[in-house]
Amino acid sequence: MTEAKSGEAAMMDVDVEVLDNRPVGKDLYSLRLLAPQIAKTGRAGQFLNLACSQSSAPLLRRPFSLHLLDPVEGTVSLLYKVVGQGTGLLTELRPGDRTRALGPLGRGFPVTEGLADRGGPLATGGTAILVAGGVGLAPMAQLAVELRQFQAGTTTVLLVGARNSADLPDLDLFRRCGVAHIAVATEDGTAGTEGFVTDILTAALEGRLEGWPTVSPAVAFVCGPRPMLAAVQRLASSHGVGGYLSLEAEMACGIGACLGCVVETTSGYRRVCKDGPVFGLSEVIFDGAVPQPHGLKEPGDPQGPAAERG
Amino acid sequence: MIPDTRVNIGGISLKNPVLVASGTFGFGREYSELFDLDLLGGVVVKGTTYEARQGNPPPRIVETPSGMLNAIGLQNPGVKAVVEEALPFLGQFDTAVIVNVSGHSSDEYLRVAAYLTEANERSGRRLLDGLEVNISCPNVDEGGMAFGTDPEVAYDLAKRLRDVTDLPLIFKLTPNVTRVVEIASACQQGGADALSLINTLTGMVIDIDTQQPYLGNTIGGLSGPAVRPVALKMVWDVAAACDLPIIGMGGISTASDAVQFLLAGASAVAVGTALFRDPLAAVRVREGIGEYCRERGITSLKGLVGAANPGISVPEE
Repeated sequence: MTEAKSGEAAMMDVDVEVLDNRPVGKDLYSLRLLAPQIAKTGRAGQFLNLACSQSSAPLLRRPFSLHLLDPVEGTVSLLYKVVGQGTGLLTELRPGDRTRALGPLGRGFPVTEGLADRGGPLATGGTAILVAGGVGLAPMAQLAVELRQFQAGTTTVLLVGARNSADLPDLDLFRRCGVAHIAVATEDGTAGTEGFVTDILTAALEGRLEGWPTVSPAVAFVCGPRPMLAAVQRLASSHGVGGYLSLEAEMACGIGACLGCVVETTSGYRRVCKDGPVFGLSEVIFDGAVPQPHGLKEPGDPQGPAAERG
Repeated sequence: MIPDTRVNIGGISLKNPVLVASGTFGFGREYSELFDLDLLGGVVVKGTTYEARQGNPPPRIVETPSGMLNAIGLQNPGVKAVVEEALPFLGQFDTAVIVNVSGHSSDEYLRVAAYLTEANERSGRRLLDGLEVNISCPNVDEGGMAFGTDPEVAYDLAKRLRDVTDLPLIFKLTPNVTRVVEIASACQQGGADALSLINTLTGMVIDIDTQQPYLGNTIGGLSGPAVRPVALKMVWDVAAACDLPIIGMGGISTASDAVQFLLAGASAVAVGTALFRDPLAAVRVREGIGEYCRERGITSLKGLVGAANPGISVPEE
């Protein structure tokens, strides 16, 4: 084997054992897998491609953000929402069951790659603003852990939007991961502020959130459905805040070969699975050129269109 | 004893009959991180056009029952970049390299084929082993499938390509025709050395929320286990009517799927969409074919090819 052939092969297709799979909210589950290789090498914002069935229905694996990694125990936790056939089958997994996982995949949040070195806002004790919509919460736990580990001096805050309180998991987990302040917005007002996550983000950026510190200078880390990402992108831009967003997309190969999951960016079509799923906050173009056929589709399950949801 | 799994496809020597299908494997770089490409009989790279193409607007894929639709639209870096970057990378591996040639006009096919042929001759060593001519892409506006649905057009393209290249020419046929055998015969008469079949079946999905077609390109190509019986029957028909060696493909996920195609008359098989649910699917298919032969005392794959098909009088050599 030549050097190029053996190369650095970080991603692996591995047999994983289910340790735990339990509901943590309405149609929201936490799945913990024994996957030592992925637990050791994965980073916040990366994902794995998980087989949801042993048959050809559904055909494709499902991509899930790495929710929380425990490299010592060798475990990988995922947070997923049941939105269709694939995630529906996932809920049937019991401790001891096995399936296949390909990962870690994609480019994560660049927390370990010198946000501080580049003289960015986090270099001088700024604030990392984590903004999540629905199950877009998934990558935020591991992200908070890595911010605490690699960006000492940074304050991490979390803003969460959901339809209602039932859609939210227990947010104490995020405090344990190092989040200093959490604010919630729900569309029906059953938890936190009534409204959208952009409402509380605006309030935070303008110093109007009670009990919160000044969040400037700040870097935003965003994950959620595309309409929410688009709204946060506009808002951040108007407040001069930069950062990163994590996209979800229907994927086939998950590794950059099939070109099925591209998104339009300021540098042309780029692969969500390989060039992303994390992109610069202003990099992705969300205008009419990017269809929204799934409406408020949740990250983590690239189910077919509504006609086929089951 | 180890069965002899070597096959010859129109002048291309394959050490085993399992290839990976064009469009599902990129140019091999990504999958090479997951397994040793030496294990494959061959790699058929992504559809290559003369100029770079950016492809169709997203969404480009959608899952369907036991299958998927894709409408990538031939996104590729153009033949120059393929020659300079992709092929030297694949050259490290002990596996056949077949370039899928695509175009929007017969001139473009000819230019791509001529460029590859010249690059291969100029290079001191083998850059590629053959050309797979994509006259079946459903996802581009002009050309593509149009070349694969009219026997005269297919014949003319085969003849003109034959004039510009000595490389083995494999024509990849579309299933979206009434009589695939006519197209196959036309390709043979025009000078094709082998056939790949099938490409994807055209299909579509409509989103009932937006009341619009789901795919950015409106229509796409169906692949996966859902198309396998259709593909097998077309291989069966063409193998009986045409002397050219066939690379069978269409929903092959397991060794038993692959063996069905061999029994129908394919000399080799390609694994495509199955890679998306199991990136090692092609390797498992290769191992499974070997096991199938060993269990039954089959010493050479040649004895298997077409064995179920009474339309084939003389087994493929």
